[in-house]
Formats: sequence, C-alpha cells, structure tokens
Amino acid sequence: MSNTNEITQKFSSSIYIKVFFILTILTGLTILQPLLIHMNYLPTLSVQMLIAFTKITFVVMYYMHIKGASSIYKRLILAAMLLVAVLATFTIYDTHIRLLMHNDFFSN
Amino acid sequence: MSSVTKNFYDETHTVFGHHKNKFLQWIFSIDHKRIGIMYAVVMFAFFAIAVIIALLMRLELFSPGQQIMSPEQYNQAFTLHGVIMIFIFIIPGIPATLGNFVLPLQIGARDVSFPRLNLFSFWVYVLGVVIAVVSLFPGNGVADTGWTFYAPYSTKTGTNVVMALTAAYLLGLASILTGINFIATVHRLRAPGMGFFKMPLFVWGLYATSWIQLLATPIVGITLILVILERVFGIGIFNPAKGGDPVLLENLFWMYSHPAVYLMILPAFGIASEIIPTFCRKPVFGYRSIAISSAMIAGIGYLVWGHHLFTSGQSDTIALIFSFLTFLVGIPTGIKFFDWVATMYKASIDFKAPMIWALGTFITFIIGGVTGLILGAVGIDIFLHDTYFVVAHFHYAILGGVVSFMFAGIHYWFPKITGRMYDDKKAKIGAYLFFIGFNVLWFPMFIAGNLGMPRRYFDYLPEFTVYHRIATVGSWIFAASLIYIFYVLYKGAKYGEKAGPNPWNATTLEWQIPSPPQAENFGELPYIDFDPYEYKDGEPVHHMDLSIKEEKQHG
Amino acid sequence: MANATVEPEIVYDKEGNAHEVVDFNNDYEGAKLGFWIFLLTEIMIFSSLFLVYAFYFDQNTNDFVQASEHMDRLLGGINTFVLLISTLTMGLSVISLKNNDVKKSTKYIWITIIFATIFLIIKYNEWMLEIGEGFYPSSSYLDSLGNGVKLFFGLYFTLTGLHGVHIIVGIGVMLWILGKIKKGEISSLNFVVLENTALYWDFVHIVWIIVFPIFYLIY
Repeated sequence: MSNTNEITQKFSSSIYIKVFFILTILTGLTILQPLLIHMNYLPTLSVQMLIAFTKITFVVMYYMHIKGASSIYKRLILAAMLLVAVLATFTIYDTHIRLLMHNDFFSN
Repeated sequence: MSSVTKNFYDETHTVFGHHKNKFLQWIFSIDHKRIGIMYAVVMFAFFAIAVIIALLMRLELFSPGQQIMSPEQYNQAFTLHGVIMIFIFIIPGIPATLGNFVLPLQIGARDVSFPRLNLFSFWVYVLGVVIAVVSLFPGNGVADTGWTFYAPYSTKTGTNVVMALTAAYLLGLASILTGINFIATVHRLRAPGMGFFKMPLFVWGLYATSWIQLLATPIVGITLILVILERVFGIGIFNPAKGGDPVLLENLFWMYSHPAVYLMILPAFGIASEIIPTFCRKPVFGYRSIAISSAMIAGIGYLVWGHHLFTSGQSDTIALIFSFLTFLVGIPTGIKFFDWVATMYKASIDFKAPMIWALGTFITFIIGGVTGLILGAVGIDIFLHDTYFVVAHFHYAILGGVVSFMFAGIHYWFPKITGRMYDDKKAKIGAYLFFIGFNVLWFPMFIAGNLGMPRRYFDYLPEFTVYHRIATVGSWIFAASLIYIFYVLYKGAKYGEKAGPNPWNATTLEWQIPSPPQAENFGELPYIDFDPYEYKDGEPVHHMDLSIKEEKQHG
Repeated sequence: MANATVEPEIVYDKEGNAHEVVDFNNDYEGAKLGFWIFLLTEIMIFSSLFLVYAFYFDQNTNDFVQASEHMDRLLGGINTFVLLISTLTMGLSVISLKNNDVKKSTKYIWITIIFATIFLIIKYNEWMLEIGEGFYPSSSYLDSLGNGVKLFFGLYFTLTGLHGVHIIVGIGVMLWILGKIKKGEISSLNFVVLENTALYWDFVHIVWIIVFPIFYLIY
C-alpha cells in the first residue's frame, strides 16, 4: 500500500456512521442497565464488561481498521491481551488465596 | 575496494540542518551509528562511576565494623550502584550501543525506521541520567531503598526517591523508544530476500529483546508513577495503613524486572552466536533452534517473576508454578549452549580476543545460570533468599554474562566501529585478567551466602572475614583489568593498524562494507538468497563490495 | 521527508525478479506499524492499572461497590457520549483528508478539539465536586472511611488523571497537525500522521469505555 495510488479512490464514511449508532446504543445500554435492573455486583460487572468488550471490538475493528489489516496487527493485539490476562490471573489468584488464608486464620 | 574517503565520522545527517560545530554535529545526529557511540560514551562513563562505588563498598567490607562509610551511606551506595548499573548501564546496554550500531548494518538497512525517534530516545536517556545525578545532592541525598524501590520503605524514607523514580521512568521510556524502533526496523527494512530465518542471530536476539522492552517496561513505568503518586498525594495504593498491599508493588516491579534480565542477556547471546561461527569458520549449528530459543526465553521469561517473591507470603500453589516455570527457562538456554558447543566441535578454532571473551563468558554464565536454577527451587530459595548467594548469582549472570559478552562484542566489532585493530595479544591478557579477577571477587560470595551472610549489610560477623577479604582483593584485580582493557582499546583506536573491511573473514553484511562505514551504510544492496553464516573449507562463500561509490550516491 | 514521487530502488534476484528496497525515509507501513507498537505499550500501561484495580476489587469488593455510589453518573455519562462523538469526527477528518477535502478535514479536527475540551471541562468540574465532598486522597474525611473506599478513590484519581493527561496530549497533537495541514505537510498524499493520531484518539476512547463502568456503574 503506497501513498501515491490512493488519490483516485473515494473513501466512504458510511461504515463510520453505522458503527457510531451501534456504539451509541451500547453506551445507552451500559448506563441504563444498573438503573433498570438491580442485580448483585457480580452479574452487573459481568454485563458491564461484556458490553464494554463488545464496544471495544467495534472500535478496534472498524475505527482502527483492524478488520482489513494484515494479520500481524491482529496477532500483536491478541498477544498483548493474552499476556495481560496471564499476568492478571497469576497475581489475582495469588492475592485471592492469600486473602482466604488470612480470613481463615483470623476467624478461627 | 573502491577508493572510499568519507565515512560516518566525516559526514552525517542532523535533525536541524547543517551545523559547523563538531559537537553539535554529534548531539543532533540522526545517524544510528553515531547515536550508538554516544550511548556508549555516556553508559561507560557511568559504568566507571558505579564500579568506583562498588570498590568503595568492598573496601568498607574489608574488615568487620565501620571503616570508611556510615550504615546510611552504605545503603545509599548500594542503591546508587544498583540504579546506575541496572537502569543507566545494563538496560540500554547492548541494544542501545552495539545494537544501534550493528542492527541496520546486519540487515542491510541504511538506518533504523525512525532515526529522529532514535535521537529523541538518546536525549530522553540523557535527561534521565541528569535527573539521577541531580538526585544526589539536595536534602538527604540519594535514595537508600535499593534499586528495587520496595514499598512501604520507598514511600516513607526521607531521601530523594521521587527524583530517582522519575529518572528510572525516563530511562525506561528511552528503552521503549529504542524497542519500537528496532521492531519496526526488523519488520520493514530487511534487505530484499532476507526472510526472518536469514537474519543474523544478533538481530534475532535484539528482536526478542525489543518485545520485552515494549511489553514489560510500561508496567514498571506505571508502577514507578504509582509510587510517586503515593509519596506526593498519598493515594494509598502501596500503603498498608490505607489498605494498600506492598506485595502488589513487588509483583508489578518484578513483572518488568525479571523479564528485564532476559532483555539484557538475549542480545548478549546474540553476540556469542555471531562470534562462535566466525572464529570456528563453520556455519552455526542449529541456526533455527538458536533463533527460536531466543523467542522462547522472551516468552517464558514473562511468567517467572514470582520467584522473587517466594518469601513474601506468596501462596504455596503459585510459588510452585513459578518455580516450575523458572526451571523451564533453563531449556532454551541449554539449547543455545549445546548449539554453540556443537559449532565448535571439530572446528579449527581461531583463538582471537573476541573468541576468548566468548569462551570465558560461557563458563561464568553457566555458573550464573545454574545457580539461578538452585535459587529457583522454592525450598532452597527460602534458605538462600537475600544472602550473598543471590548477589553472587546475579553478578555471575549479569556481569559475567551480559557485560562480558558485551566486551566480546566490543572486541568483535571494534575494527568495524573505529576502522583500526587493537593489539590482539594484549587484549587477550586483558580478558584473562578480567575472568581471574571476576572469579576471585564473586566466587567466595557463594560460600559466604551459603553460610548465611545476608546481602545489603554494611557489617558482618567475624567468621565471614576471610571471604570478604578474598572478594575485596578480587575487586582490585577486576578493576585493574578494566583499566587495562580500556587502555588497550584506546591504543588500538588511536594507533592501531588499519583493519580493512573484513578482518575476521566474517560473513554477515556489516563486514561487506568499509570500516568505518559510510554515512548511509550501503551503496548497492544484494538480493539475500543465502544464509547468514555460509563457510566452505574455512572461507566465507560470498564476497561482496557494498560500499557507496563516489559516482553513484544513494538518494 | 523525502518526496513521495522518488523512484523506488530495485534489487534483482538470480532469476531476474525485481524486489523493491523499502526507503526508510518514506515508509507508510513502517510508520503505521511503529505507531501500533507504541499503542501496545499504552495498552500495557493502562492494563497494569486495571490489574491493580482488579487486585483491590478482589480484596475489598464491598467497599468498592459502596464507593461507586458516590460517583456522579450524569456527568460521567455525558462525558462518555462526548468522547464517542469525538472519535467519530476524528475518523471523519481522516476520510475527508484522504478524499483530498482539506477544508472539511480541518473542520472535523476542530470539532474534535472542541469535544475534547468539553470533556476536560466536565471532568474538571466533576473532580471539583468530589474534592468538595472530601473524596480526595489523604483527606481526613476519606481517611475515616473504609480501606476499600480510600483505594477506590486513589485509583479513580490516578486513572482519570492519566486519561486526562492523554486527552491533553491529544489536543496538543491535533493543534500541531492543524498547523502542518495548513503548511501542506500533511495532505491526501501524506496522511499517516493524522491516521495515527486517529488511532491514538480511538485508544483514548477505549480506555474510557473501561474506566466508565468500573468506577461509575458497579453498585
């Protein structure tokens, strides 16, 4: 892809507008969910994260053009996310266990 | 060889147009070769300072009791030694100096992908260095937390921790920028035909390192910022009184700082993989396995940070997982060593100075690596944690691994960088002195550590006296060897014979252009349809002249 | 910068096939790749903060849920939409520039800057409200509350503060780009800087997409 060949082509903004409406609806859902449906924190957080993840996927795929990009970008993003997930799992698993032991110790 | 007169010392591209002043031509140069040399100058200046601090600490430890510094000064001394050696010297280390110089030459590029960013990274680095130096003076002086900045002490001590943290942050940023540059360069600017598995192995090492720089350094960056915020605003994240958890800081810190040791060693392994085939006059054994094991070390290296926390109250399950993963790192490292040994097998080895350096480092690094496995076992680690055994282990791995491989690389590329040759015999004497001094200095610490000598103490019980005395004497031999090595190199740069483009009969692209290289490195580029180390009957298969000819200037 | 019309340098292999040598001074793909790699470092920075959040959320779940009720959801919600619109206008400005409509592109960038400024103003007022109520690190009121509440607000100010810094940097970059467009240095022939800025802006939006629910909506 070189800069010179692209002048003749017209770029359309319709996909941007479509994605924008989808994102608006999802944002509305994000805000309304806790107002309308009262749930415990865990389901709330799960629903919220699910919506956030969907929104992010749309932004990354369409606004950041990853959908049509070469596979190296997809692999980079996936690798970074995987790394973060592993780091988080190890750390939080550890603190969770420590916390349980701590509570056990002091409740006995 | 065509008559080439101008090299990169004579002309350069600068960021703000042309300067008459030679000094400005250097500090504004966007030539990767000049940037590499500038990094080296600053780095080795601070290396010298940190060595002097270390010599003073050894002198303090010559006898039990207080000699030349107070306990507080001793704390500040080892912090300063650690911060300089880790953040200023060894983390930019090989990538910023030799990497900057050699990487584009080895892949047939005329510069890195973002030359201005490269210069910017040097300036950020210098700014970080300046802040670190300034932190010595006001108030209670330089930080006394150790280079790890563990909370809660680092959030409470009255010394200039914020400045030290800011400096470390900027140095990390400079290292990230170098990493971005290298990855883009390796992906985009390889000479036509050079696939990933036709790259020289030093490039593989740098490439794997760059990924660590990118994905791990930001974590420590934000951690340092959190400590700063903790000190300035009291956000509570690392303050147990407010529910914060200091162990989280240890986790975040080692998430970077353990991969960081692989960040240091991978390019060093790359240097060894260049030197071994060149001086054995043989294609390297198991090219692919060396290349892939670099990537494996980088990958597994992310997942072992917890072995620094075995005594922090970590849960047993996670400790065992980390211990297991730590052992896994030994596998790709072992693969590399087997490949090197197999390359040397039945070769008629040419024992020039770089080869001596590489071989000496194999021995010291194996000691450093294997003691690492000893420490990686949970039970033993709890016994040896925070003793001199750990200190000896990482000095064997980093000083006897990274730094001495770096010296091997400096001796290897010295004729390319300066265009002149040092006295090989004297350089070898320097290398032997280095390894003798090194072992006398550090080996007693293994024993002292095993007997229970704790690290970071300015005083000790009388029964440890003998080990400390031997080590201190070793430190003198070691310091003398450093002076001698630099003296030999200086003489070589000044009065040595002209080296010619390819004094070692090496095969990679940087040896097919004049020494020192010209401003844009390559005139004509070849199509790379051959492997990086092709020797036949002890001679390189391909001979090329890629210099920039007078009549045919590029661009 | 080298001109885009320079003849590419060609190398031939043994079969005589032509291979182009990538010019390091004018490498569109390289500039984009480099910027994406930079974004990965940003991802790691914010991910570590989210990791810290998750770590303390696990330790102090009830306190976090309670603290979340003190947040101003109206201002936060408005800001979410403000950022959403600004990413759209930023994307449209890139498309206009690629279509060689410099005027429209400039207009969209200005709109983006205005929305970014609105975001900052709202954020500032929100901070002031919270500080007025005593919810700021080391305040005596906050120190009298549970540990989780202290950590919640410590993290809140850290994350939104860092996010705000990113927005300020973004505004600065956009102003710089406007100058470059005026000089013709960024045009339909050379738009990678604007495209990368749009990527950056999308990233800033993504951070907010996570920050918003985890602080405002977990009650």
